[in-house]
Amino acid sequence: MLASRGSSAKAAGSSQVRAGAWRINIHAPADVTRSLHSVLSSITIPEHNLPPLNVFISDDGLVQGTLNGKTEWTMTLPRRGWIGPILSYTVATATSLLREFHFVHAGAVAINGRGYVLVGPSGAGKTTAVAVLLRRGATYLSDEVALLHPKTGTVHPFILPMAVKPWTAKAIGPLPPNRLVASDARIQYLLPERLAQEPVPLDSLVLLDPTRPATEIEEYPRAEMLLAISENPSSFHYRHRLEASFSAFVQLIKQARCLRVGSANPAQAVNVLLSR
Amino acid sequence: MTEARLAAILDGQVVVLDKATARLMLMDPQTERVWRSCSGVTLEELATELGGSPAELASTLEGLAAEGLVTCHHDRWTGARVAWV
Repeated sequence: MLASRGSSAKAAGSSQVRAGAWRINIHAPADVTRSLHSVLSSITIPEHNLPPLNVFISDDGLVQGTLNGKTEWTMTLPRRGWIGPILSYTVATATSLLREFHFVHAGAVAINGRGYVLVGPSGAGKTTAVAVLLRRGATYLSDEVALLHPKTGTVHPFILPMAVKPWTAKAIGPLPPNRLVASDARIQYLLPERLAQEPVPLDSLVLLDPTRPATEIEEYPRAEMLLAISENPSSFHYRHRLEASFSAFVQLIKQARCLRVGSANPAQAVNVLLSR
Repeated sequence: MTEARLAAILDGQVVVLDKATARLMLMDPQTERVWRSCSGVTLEELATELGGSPAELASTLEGLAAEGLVTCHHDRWTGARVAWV
């Protein structure tokens, strides 16, 4: 997409994206605008009254994200693999603006109308587990951001295209029904077909532990789960939300079942989880 | 006065949030017993109340003090105030 970066000026494009209740304005070269619109318009963020995000991309790949006229972030796009960084920054901006909800970096699905949040370190198999659960009939809430409402004890959809890397696709096997939103640097951005439309009650917080075999599942101490959540990107990481996050996650964890599942083989871990 | 820490009990385990460092601390039951007993008491009084060796207690108190969860004035140990969630 940006392979011709640095070449003579190209036609500028602009586009307004509705990401659920959030508005994103894109100002970029026309070809970039098209792809970005396709990716960002597949996002659904439920919180209302968030200020719109403006994304400016110059011909030579300089990107600027602004809110209310103030620069929030800047970066230089790589020649390949540029969708991932923009998506990450956009999601990080959205999570930084949340007031009503709390979040943790996690996969989230609904099984029989109950919410399952899959927490784990990078490489624990969250995307694989989410995809396999979707193939087995679960409904998609998110691949990256579990959005939680402490007062109602619910998990809300934070729909993002799933970023499926080649090795992840291999681990998943047959993909769940989906629509290809974009493809960049061998990463496929897929939007699952079965999307949650409504929040669901939180059932389980599941820690995926890649150091353990996928046959192991056990109740996990709630205090340890709170620590695991705080060690992941989450509302805890925003200083102004620290106390509220502590109270919110304590409240949520008290209501939820907490499990640790060995995820050395994430697809097998799903079998173990579903048999529980 | 605003407490610098929030605490919660989850399945009988105490978790403390240090707001200054934005860090969570998980107390084991033995440490929690020591911490809860720090009401302006001396090491000897603690040893009498809780049992155990003064050396072990001193080590636990040092660990708690390093986390700012107890303070010592004139050989008397006092637990930091927390707000419970």
